[in-house]
Amino acid sequence: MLIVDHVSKYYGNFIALENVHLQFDNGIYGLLAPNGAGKTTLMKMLVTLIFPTKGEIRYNGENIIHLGSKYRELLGYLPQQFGYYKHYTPAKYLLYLSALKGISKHEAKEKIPELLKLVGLEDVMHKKMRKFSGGMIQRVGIAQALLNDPKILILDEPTAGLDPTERARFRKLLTQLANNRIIILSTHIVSDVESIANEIIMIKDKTILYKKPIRELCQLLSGRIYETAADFQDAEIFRKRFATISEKQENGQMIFRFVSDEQPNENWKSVEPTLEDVFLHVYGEGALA
Amino acid sequence: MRVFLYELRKLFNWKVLLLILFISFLFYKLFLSFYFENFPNGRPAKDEFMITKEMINKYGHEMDEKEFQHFKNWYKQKKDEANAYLKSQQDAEKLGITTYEQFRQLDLTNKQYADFHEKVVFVDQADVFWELQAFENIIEQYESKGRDIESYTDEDQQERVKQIMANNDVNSVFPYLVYENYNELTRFWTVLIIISVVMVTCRVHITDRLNNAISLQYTTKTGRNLFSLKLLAALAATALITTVQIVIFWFFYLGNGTQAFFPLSINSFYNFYYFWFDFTFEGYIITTVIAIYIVAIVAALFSVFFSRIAQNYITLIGSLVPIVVLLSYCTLKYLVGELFAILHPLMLTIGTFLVLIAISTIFIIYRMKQEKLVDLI
Ligand SMILES: Nc1ncnc2c1ncn2[C@@H]1O[C@H](COP(=O)(O)OP(=O)(O)O)[C@@H](O)[C@H]1O
Ligand SMILES: [Mg+2]
Repeated sequence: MLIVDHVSKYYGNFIALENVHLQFDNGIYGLLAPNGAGKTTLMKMLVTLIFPTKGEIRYNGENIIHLGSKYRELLGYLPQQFGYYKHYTPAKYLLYLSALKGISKHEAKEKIPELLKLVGLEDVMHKKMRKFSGGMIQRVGIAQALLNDPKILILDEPTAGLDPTERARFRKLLTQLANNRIIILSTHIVSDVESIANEIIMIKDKTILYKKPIRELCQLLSGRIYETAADFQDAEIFRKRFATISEKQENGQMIFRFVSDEQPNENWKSVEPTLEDVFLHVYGEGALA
Repeated sequence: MRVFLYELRKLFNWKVLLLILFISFLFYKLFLSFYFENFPNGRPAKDEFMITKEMINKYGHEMDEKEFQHFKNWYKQKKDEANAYLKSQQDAEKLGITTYEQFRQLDLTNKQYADFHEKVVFVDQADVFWELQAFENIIEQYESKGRDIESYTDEDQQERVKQIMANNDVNSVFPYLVYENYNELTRFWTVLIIISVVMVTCRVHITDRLNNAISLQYTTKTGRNLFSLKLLAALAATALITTVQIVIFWFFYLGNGTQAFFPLSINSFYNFYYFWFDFTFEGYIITTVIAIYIVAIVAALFSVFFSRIAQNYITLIGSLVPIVVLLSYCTLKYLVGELFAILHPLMLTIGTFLVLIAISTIFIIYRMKQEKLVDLI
């Protein structure tokens, strides 16, 4: 069990996170917040790259900083900017990282092809990474995070650069891994976590706003989301009157989705809130907080 | 251990090695080849070299007063040879030169005399005339040994000269030209070593920073100990480069054929200056080799420190160039070149070594402590 105990992080005078309190058990946690909210900051503290200004993080009751290598041994981490040597092949790079992770060469040599196969890179495992696409590099990053079969897997925007099929494959992989470890992934893309996360954590105004299962989050808005169609010419008026959270085009009309405490019009149908509604409502401009 | 080996291997990047090879070649051409191809450099240096070697056979490592009398007789025989040569020359007869003493004191502003002198010494290359010059140099130095005490103003230096005078070592037949040759070669070779070591070790951290690899490396089991492992790798690389360079140096240097002088004291009447310690040439060589390793390690420590601190290659090069220049300057002046010669106060040499070792070590220890404490952003 991993506990973030009233942690604050300041960068000099700048407050990045204030009084964050969280508890993680095995399962998938989606850290969902827009850019600049402090997701990376929280994750860097979880992987001991940076130290909390106040508070502490404990794993099974012990401060992770004191645990040191005993804690890092349990970590799998994919940084937001995955670094690699261009002239290395994925196999060679993973072999290097497994040395750093304290995995025996023998074990690593068995594990590496399996992992690269898991992320669909078996054909290029001996090709230099120089010419790899962003998605391929990201998949090398995911593979390396799994090298030591981590108890705590921390993935900072792991789907960045992945195409839709790769994303789907990645989500499937995470659910397979989830039952005996803590997985925390950050994203600002709702669909990355919508179907897989046990809990969603939202950061707002430098602290944790929600940490709830998706169902409970959606209940926060239940009965308050409406959807209706409007002509293009009426769109501006509509936007002014209602707190629209999303709009899309369908058959030459605009479909508006918005939040309202009472039904504004009998014809406008009440719909089930989605995670996206919650996200857009919480972080949207001019949303009712 | 595996991490150490990986880091070591990462340092030896073939592009850097090629660059070092190229720079070594330039150094060889510009500063070094001269001292291999022209040793001993011209005449009478060549004759002095031969005669001193001969003296070792005749007198052993030192030449005492009795042996010096023998040496002067030997000189006389050479003079007779010269006289005989002059007698055999018709030109000499015409000019009225019959003895070597006359020949030696010729008024060379007179064209006829000058032409004759030139013919004998440079065109005919009559060996004996060169040899005589060498003999004369040796005799002069032997007779005036210790007189240069006047040129030292410092009390410690004068004390040291007196000490050497009282010692049989001063009669060593070790010639200045062997010292000079070794000194020039070894000090320039050390600058090459400093440059090679810095070029290899300065990449140790910065490549990881520029490749964004730090956040990955520092969150593994190895974590923040990586700094120490990389330091060891850099030091191993330094030892390796320095050793290889020294071996290559010796491959060339043995060709100069100075082996006969190895067991001789370098505090000799026939050297340029004296030294603070009673070195034999081989003892001195070992001491310079130790100095070279120290300088190389100091260079590596600075290089590792700045490699970790610098944000990019520009700042890295900007901070390392002054260090390399300073270190090379001291190396050329007194840390390897003229090492422990009494020209340089003993405390200056030892003090510089201590200060360099202290500063570089403090930098590294400071960073080692920082490594455990700082945010890695
Ligand atoms: N090293 C730093 N120094 C100062 N401010 C920083 C630093 N890193 C991040 N920040 C600031 O902290 C806030 C949170 O950043 P970050 O944790 O990267 O957010 P996210 O990952 O959610 O996009 C941002 O306003 C960012 O500008
Ligand atoms: Mg981020």
